[in-house]
Amino acid sequence: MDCTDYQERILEAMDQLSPGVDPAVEAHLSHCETCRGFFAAQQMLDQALSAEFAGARLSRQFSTHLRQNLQRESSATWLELLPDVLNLAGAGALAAWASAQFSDEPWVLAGSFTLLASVASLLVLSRQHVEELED
Amino acid sequence: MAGINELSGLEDEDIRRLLAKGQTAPAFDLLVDRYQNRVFRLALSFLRDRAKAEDVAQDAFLKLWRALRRYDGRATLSTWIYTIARNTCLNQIRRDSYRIALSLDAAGDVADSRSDASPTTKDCTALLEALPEKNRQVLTLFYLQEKSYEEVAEMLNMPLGTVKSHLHRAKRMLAAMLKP
Repeated sequence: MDCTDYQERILEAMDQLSPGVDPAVEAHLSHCETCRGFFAAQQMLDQALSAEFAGARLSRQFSTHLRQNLQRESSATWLELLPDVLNLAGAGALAAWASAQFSDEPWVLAGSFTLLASVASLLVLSRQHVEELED
Repeated sequence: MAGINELSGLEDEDIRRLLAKGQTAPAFDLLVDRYQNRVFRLALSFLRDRAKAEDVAQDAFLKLWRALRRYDGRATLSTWIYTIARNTCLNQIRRDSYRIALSLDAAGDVADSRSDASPTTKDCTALLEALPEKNRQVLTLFYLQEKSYEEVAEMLNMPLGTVKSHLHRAKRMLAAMLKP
């Protein structure tokens, strides 16, 4: 084994793949200054990297934010469908208004016109709201 | 890799059972509870910024929620989650034009500027910036995941041997930078 092999074993020990540096590596370290330096550097790095990264966790607000985002998302989904529903309702109201043209009752014409106007207004408002959500 | 996936598959059997019964909301709650920190750490290894990583983790879970009903069980749940999380990270990086061109020359510059051989946490972060991207990411994720080759391999969809070689290459380069 040369120094590269010993250093690989040192790295594996550092990765906690083996319980410790094995006796053969220890024997090599006792007379190889290069590998001793490498081992010391790896120990320092291991400590510093563990201190920097080990156990990084999310902030406590993460779950709350996620719940809020999901609620916003589900209301957005419902609102996204609203213009389509209103389009259908508008088509129905238009048909009612058209057929009311042939009715002798004035309240039928007035009623169907009011329905048509209401659906059209709701449609415009819902589209505006969906556009706001998409922004 | 197959062994890891099988293990994760067993771990997530409860979630899969809920999904099979159409109980998406409780399945999602379990999934969030189990994977939120892992997805965050994966995002952190890509983005290097806690706030951004947390935002991306939010996006990833929203995507998972939208896609959960369509999860067909062909991939293990963890593989599926990490794939969506990785893609969300990559999209974020693309959006931010988050590109860092690292080279061994840059690593040399960092090493040259050092006078003390013992690395503080701050120095470590600076040294990591000088590593090639993949080596840096594997090394970071390895420590974020408390030294688990298997977790890193699964999260990055990489063979164990490749994880090990990226990791050791990164460590050797860092040691070389620390030489006086």
